[in-house]
Amino acid sequence: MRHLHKLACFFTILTLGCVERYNFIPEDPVSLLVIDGSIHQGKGPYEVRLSRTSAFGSAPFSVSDAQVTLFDDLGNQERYEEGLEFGVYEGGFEMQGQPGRTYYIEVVIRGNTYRSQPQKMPSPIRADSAYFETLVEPVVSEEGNVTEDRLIKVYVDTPTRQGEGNVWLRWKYDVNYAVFERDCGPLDLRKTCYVTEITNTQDILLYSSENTNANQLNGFLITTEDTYPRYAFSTRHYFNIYQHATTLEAYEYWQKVRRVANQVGSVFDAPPAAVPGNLYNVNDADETVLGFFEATAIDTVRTFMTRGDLAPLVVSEFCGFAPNSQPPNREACCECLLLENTTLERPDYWNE
Amino acid sequence: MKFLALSLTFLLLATCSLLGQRLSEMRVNKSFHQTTREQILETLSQHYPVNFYYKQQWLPTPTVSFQFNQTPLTEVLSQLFQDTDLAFVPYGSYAIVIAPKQALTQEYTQTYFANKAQQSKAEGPAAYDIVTLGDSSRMSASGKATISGKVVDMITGEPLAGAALYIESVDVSAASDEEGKYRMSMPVGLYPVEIRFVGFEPKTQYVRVLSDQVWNVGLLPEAFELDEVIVREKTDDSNIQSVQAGVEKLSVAQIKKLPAFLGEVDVIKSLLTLPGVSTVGEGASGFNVRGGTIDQNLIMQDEALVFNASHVLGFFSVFNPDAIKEVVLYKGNIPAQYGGRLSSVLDVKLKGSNYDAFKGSGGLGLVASRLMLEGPLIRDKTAFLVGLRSSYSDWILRLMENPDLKNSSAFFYDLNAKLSHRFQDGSSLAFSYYQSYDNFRYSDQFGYAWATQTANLTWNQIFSPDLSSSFTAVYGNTDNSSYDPEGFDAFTIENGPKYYKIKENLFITPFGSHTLNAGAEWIRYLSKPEVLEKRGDISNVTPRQVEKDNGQEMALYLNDEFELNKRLSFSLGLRYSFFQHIGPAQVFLYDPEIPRRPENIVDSVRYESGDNIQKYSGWEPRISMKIGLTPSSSVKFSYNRLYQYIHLISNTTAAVPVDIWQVSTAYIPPQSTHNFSMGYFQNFKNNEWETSLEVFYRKMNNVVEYKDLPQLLLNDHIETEVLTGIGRAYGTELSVKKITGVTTGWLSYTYSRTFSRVNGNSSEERINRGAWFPSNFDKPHNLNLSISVKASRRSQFSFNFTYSTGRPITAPVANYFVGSTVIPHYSDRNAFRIPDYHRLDVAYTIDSNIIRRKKLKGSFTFSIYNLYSRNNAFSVFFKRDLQSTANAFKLSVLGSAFPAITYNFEF
Repeated sequence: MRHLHKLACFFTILTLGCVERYNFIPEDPVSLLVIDGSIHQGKGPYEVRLSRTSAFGSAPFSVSDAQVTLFDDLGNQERYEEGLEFGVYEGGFEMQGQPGRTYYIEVVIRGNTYRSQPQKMPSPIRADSAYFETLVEPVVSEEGNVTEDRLIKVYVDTPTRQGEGNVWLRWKYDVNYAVFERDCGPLDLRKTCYVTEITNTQDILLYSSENTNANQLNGFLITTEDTYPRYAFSTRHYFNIYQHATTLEAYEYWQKVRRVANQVGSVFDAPPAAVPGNLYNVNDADETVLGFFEATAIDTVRTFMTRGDLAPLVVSEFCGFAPNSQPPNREACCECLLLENTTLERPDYWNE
Repeated sequence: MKFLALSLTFLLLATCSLLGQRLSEMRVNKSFHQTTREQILETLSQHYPVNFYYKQQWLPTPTVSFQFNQTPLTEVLSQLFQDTDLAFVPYGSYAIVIAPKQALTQEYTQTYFANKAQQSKAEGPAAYDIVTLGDSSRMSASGKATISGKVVDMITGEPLAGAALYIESVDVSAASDEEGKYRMSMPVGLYPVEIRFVGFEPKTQYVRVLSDQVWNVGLLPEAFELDEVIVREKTDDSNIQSVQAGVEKLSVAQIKKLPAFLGEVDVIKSLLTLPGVSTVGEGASGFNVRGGTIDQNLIMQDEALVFNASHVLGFFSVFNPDAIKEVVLYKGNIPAQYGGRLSSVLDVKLKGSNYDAFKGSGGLGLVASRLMLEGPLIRDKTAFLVGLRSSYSDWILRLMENPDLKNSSAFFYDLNAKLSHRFQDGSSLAFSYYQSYDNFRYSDQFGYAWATQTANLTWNQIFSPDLSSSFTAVYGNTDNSSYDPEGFDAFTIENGPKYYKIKENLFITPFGSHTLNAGAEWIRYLSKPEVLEKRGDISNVTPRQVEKDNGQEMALYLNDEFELNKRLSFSLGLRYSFFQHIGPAQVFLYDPEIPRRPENIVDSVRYESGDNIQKYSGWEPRISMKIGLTPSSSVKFSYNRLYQYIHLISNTTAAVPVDIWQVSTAYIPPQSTHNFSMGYFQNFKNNEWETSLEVFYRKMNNVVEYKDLPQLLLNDHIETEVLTGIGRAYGTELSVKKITGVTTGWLSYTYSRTFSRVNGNSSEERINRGAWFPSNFDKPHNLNLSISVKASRRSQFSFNFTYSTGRPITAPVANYFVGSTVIPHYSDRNAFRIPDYHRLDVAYTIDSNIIRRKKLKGSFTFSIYNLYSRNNAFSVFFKRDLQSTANAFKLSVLGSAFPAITYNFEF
């Protein structure tokens, strides 16, 4: 009942409903182990992240000094090592994911052993293409104000059948664009940075072939983006779409996540609940362990646009003087690496 | 004049054989051809200012022919009774008594008359005010007699349920039942009987009771005036005298005076002002009674089951207030003639028996208007009612700036039609039809449509004064759909229950004060398959359908209400209910050792149409006792056992139209309850004030709960998502009501708790690790104050204040990341509460005319819902805001004041 969510939104607006920040502080802090990781058919490294839940508004607590091991159904195993980032364990240097193989992880933390349910990696589903359209649409703010804005809608076309079985898909996406530093010194040593943004982390895009007889999915809407900041469109603006073929179990997990992560609290919301993952404590079945370990097969498809696609909008340069062109940090005009999720390394697909 | 109004006193006077001056001057110009004497007397009484008193059986039946031309009335009567055994005597200036000569000369002797005349003089009534019931030849040796009959509206002939009859001198009282019937026993003698019914002119009628006799009483409605303050359609002290505890009656007049959301008069919402009745929140459909879920209320409209009582998903109810005669909510003792739900019975009775005069009423509001017409098709024989209500709320949506709202729709209508015919022997036949339709669409994103049709045939027959029957046959059908209008995943899901119902109820008054209801009921549930269809050309949804379960429910019952003595009354009932889960169905078998999941299905069995799959049955005793402490106080106790074989499967906080009505199966056993209640009732100041204090306790089995985040639609193994557990509820209800005066209203306070416990074999089949947890409508403190003040002859001010503890919620207590997605972690189920709720509504009603006899009578009601714009929290939920931090937010549904104006009229 995905549209229950829409129904809830409708009533919130229709009934002059009011949404306010609410300082909800539970008396007892909740600290539960979260294990989050995946393996796919591409080259590693693969990551497993260990953390503990935290209060709203604060970052989760990383869990270090754990032993993380990946197993497959052939008896192979690989120990993951904690990387530079606390709580992030990397592996996949010895074992590469293969469709059809079954994988699970085991995590040992201070004598407690946690294990995931085995996950069989499906075969990848190759997407046909990704494309976009620009359009002018009314935009409703959270306060109900309506303005017109230029929007970009990104779609994907993909087959949805592979053999006789059902297919479950999940999409992730990000955007990538380049920014050019201003000339701030006596020498012209301006760098080019490549920025990766995940514009809506709460958007969980799912598809199941269970209720359809179609072999092809065309025009699946991946995202609707605005055109800010404008300098992001001064050169190429990539939309990278990662199409995950996944398991029924993972599909159902993400369905539940979508339901609790996008509630609006109305009478038509399903009562929320903790989302059970696929991990458990081998020694204590009553311990609640959150998160999911997933074996997916990924296919990447992308498209890009340029400033010409936004004409007649004026697209200014990074740190230029046109409206809406200011970076979030003025120092970044002279040091673009100060921007978040930025690298000087030019992604391979920019060369295509 | 069909009934003998034979006064011993006037018989004494009659011996004078003198017609009064007024009568003696009367001349008759009429001719009658082949006409019975009774018809002639009726014609004369209609055309001349004279009343005749006689017994129908005294008049000879052969027809006669006469021609009168300026003939004195005395001569007319002499000719009329020339060859008969009848004589006539005048009484007063305008009445004549006709009786057998023997009765006038022998049975009522001179001495007898003299004594009675003296007695009558002392008692005060004028002779013609006395109705004599029975005759002395049939006088009982015990010196007692029983009178029984019906109390009816003199204008429409409709029975009045809850009218009070009271004889002060012997402290005998009775209340008419839902068919207007009453029964009372007293020593032979002359008594003033007070008959009262709110909304009608009170009447004191002297009756001379000689032996058992049927006596029907008619009351005249009060004129439409602003000094009419109707609080309930029940008698002044029926709360004390009635053996039934926990029964609430609301009159439409009262419902119309309550401030309403957007001015729409609403039966369901008005119930929420009563003690023990609550809701999960504004805009939610249904209501909760004494800790019960919304599906535990049996909602009936003229015996037809109502599965979805909401328009616009819950903001309004489906009952057209103009077509309603009365609304009764049984929340304590539920008589044995009702069953199938655990918490309450909401019995909505429609009008439709107006055999005398054409009437209409209606209203114009901001979002909807309504019109009801009723009257005779054949005078005194056939009556009709048509009521139509329709919304035009889309114009409000068109005013919205939000383009999605502008393109949305919230349309509904409902239609009531009823045809009644009564026969000369007192039996009657009624056919009623109800249809409603809702279409609710949000832009091009989603929509709901739902429609209900019920057809109902009722045959009432009176076999004797002590035995009558009511046979009802009902067909009901509900079509629900949910749709996604556009795109490649556009779809429509359709489902809905269908049923047939037959009920036979015998109403028996065998002896003494006993009032029996005995009967049988059969309901066949035919759940239509849940159908998924593609919508539009580009949709690639695969159509499929999921078979839903069918069943039939049968019951036999007997309920006896009687007075053991002046102080002690009982209502004793026993109901035997029986249920069958019937094919066709595919029943899955699961490994019993592991959690019930789709992957744990080990086998399946196919049952064909009509195959018996599962049976359940149970005895349901219903006991209620009243102990009268003083004339103005009583205590009442009740114990009820009830079973419920059909359940609303819904995993949203408030129900939505496509929620499934699921009959009991092997995996979803019937819900059952033991309900206990006790109450103390006390009236003050001659029943001007009514107070009560009631306590209740309920112990429920097999209450329906759900696994976390269940998938309920299009699920052919729904038992893998449903859990059953036990429940308990208890509480105290305090009520103070002021019935009459310039200021009227009521204060109700409820303290109640309701909990469930689900402790299955595995962790996923337990909720909160098997501990008790509060239901999502568990609101311990609930206070309502509804006051009406007559500001002037033409205007009235009313307000309603409500306060309740915030309801329990499952709250987000922490967050974590999986990938880049922030996921809220929620608490145990219903472990926290939202802030307390309170709201004030006001309404001001002004009459557009005050002339008592003016044909069109109208009134304007100005109301403001949520006067001080309280942002009551409906829920607390997780949301990731623009700054990409996850936070808790609270939602207020109606977070603003809503003014409205409504014009109501009648003619």
